[in-house]
Amino acid sequence: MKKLKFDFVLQLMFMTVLTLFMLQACVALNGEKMKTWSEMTPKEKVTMSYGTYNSQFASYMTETGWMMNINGKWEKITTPVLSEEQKNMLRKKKAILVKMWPMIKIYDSMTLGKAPYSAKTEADLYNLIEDIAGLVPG
Amino acid sequence: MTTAIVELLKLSIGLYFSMAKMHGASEEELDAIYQEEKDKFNSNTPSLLEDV
Repeated sequence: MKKLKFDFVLQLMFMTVLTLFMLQACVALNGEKMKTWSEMTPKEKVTMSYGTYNSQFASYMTETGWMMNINGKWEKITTPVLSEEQKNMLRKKKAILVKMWPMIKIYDSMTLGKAPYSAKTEADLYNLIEDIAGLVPG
Repeated sequence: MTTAIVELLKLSIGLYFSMAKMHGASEEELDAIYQEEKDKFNSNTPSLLEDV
């Protein structure tokens, strides 16, 4: 029980760190600051969207007992015992990832000039990034 | 669970460095990061996410 609580606290800490990296986007780096969303070029925005999705996708897979093998394929290695709290957080994360995937595709097409630019799509995508970055157990 | 935490830490660090790489990257470097993330994205389809 104590170990479970310790793991939960650690997990919460890592999620918080991740959230800080993604939401603040202004971590000092060699004396400079990272660009915020509004300062990024469209290419940087779509790259960050891909990175955010991939990172959260991998986090979901890991938390549900999957691991990437040396061939780059996901492999089920364990069936973790999850609390209802953890399950709820994962369900929310999955729902956001499912919405994000097609939206990033559309946004990428927009940045490549293959689809007309839509400020609403960009705003919706940004909101999903904020939502998923803000997900912490509990 | 410890393995999962280690993986999460690796992911956090990975994302940080990927963002750091993007920061101040040249056009060619950004293209390479973009392509790498896009390739991963295309294989990370939501259908792989199992229900909990």
